[in-house]
Amino acid sequence: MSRRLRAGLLAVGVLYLIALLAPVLAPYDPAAQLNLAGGRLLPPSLAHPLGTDALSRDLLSRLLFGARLSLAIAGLAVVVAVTLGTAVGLAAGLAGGVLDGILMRSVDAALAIPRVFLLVAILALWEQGGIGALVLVLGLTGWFGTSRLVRAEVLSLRRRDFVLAARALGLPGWRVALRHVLPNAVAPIVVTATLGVGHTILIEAALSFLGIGVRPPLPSWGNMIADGQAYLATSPWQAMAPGLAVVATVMIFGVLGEALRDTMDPRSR
Amino acid sequence: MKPLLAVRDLTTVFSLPGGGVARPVDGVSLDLFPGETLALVGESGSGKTTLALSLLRLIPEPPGHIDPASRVELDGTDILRLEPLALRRVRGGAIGMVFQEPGSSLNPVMTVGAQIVETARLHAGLDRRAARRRAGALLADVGLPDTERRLDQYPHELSGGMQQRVMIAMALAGGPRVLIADEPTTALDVTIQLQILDLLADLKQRLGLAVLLITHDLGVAARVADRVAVMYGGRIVESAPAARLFERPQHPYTEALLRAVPRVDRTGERLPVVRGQPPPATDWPAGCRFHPRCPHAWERCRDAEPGLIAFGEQVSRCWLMDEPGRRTP
Repeated sequence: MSRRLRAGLLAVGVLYLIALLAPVLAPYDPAAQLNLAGGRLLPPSLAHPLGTDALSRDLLSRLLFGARLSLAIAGLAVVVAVTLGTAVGLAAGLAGGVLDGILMRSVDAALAIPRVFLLVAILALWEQGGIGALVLVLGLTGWFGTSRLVRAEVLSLRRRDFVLAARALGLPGWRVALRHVLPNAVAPIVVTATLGVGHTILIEAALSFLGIGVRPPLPSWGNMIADGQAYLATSPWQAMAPGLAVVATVMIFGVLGEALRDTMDPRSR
Repeated sequence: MKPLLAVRDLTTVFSLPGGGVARPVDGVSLDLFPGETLALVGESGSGKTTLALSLLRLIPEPPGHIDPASRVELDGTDILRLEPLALRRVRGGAIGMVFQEPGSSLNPVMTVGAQIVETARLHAGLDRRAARRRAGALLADVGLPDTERRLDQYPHELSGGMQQRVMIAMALAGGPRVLIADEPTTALDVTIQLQILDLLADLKQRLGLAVLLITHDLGVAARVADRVAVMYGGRIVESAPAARLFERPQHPYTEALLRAVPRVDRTGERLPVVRGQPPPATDWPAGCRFHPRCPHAWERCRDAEPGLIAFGEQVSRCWLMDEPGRRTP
């Protein structure tokens, strides 16, 4: 295992641990307005390591709970997206012919629509959906790239001798697909999923910033940045703390994804 | 005696981009009898592998297809007309198949044991534990000692010879009566080649298998075959009991092939070669398909293709069988 991979795994582990332990680690209730009279927009101090926001809520607590939401949303959305993309790519690659043509041209068409526009349009119309809708919509718009990747992988795998050998042994088609083709395509799928988590966190933050992702009073890094931007001149840590959290997290997933690619994908060695 | 596997007029056609067609296998008939080894020999591009894949309908369709007039009868049942489920029972069940490259024919991410178990469960209907015991017994059968450890190894942890033994064990897991081996020793070292050939001969004896051995190596055919069929230009051009074919080849192509085998007792001489190139499957020559390269050819060979002409147990697709006087010394 390379040092980069170990560092990446460790960092992602720590991130998820922090998210998981947010209720224990957070010094205050993230939604509690502690002291509206004299405790608004306080600078970092011992009592509030990252200060407080305009509603006198503790920023560190909000950041920790925001990590929880952001990581959970991105993780689940990527699970939806990768599952869907893998299924479609596998079907297209193995079936070939007309089905492949229909699926891949549809994916091409979907990729031609900018994802953020699509997300904004759907989420603006589906206001009552909440977090569940956000996960679903992020997942349903995130699988196109994966399906192409898996299809390309399957197209090269299906010509391999061991797939012919499996058919010559009388294995049914679905078994050849799931036991012999798919496991050999796992490496690029894991890599794309890892990079996808970072990417999805970024998009979720953007949507929350616009007010259509995670909605207040639930804390998310995106809506914390939105809240903080009004006070950039007077108390810049309001927006900088969640901003740095987003940047660091995306970077960590990027490092892990690249390290996984180097380790698992022989072609990039 | 009735043949176990009877191939009749097997023709496999591939449509090429641009509208052409290739017929790598063109009207092949073969009989494989219980308990015998039939070697199918021919040079690269003669259609051997396409023939082997066609027997189990494993050619990619499209672009390929098997001519509807073809028949491949296993014990009287035409494999080419089986429903998908029945076809899958034959594949790996009644007919096992071994491929050329053991390294790439095994799934790299599955243990050896899991791959044998998968076939054993499918065809013998065994539960997990019984299938694992059977897999162990099969590995012992194909001469891989230390079976418990081997079962949990991945293909890359084994040598080429061991991998081919595993492939053979997988082909045997369904309890086949026919084993098709497509160049099973080509990718292996010479010493390992002999071991694998001896293993195939031994399994044939012990299990009463009928073996169709596909090879370009006449030495391999001579070592294990009871009968030999020579393929050229998508057709069988000669077939005979092995000893007879090697002693008295009738077809000029077989003759030329035998002359081109290097011999340790004649070093330093230039090896005679078969002149010219094998014809492409898109454009078989008219008349006898070998006539452009044949030293004996005359007008008749250009005008009409000979059928398989019998001479005792030997059949040869050559007009010389009809007019032996034409043979130039």
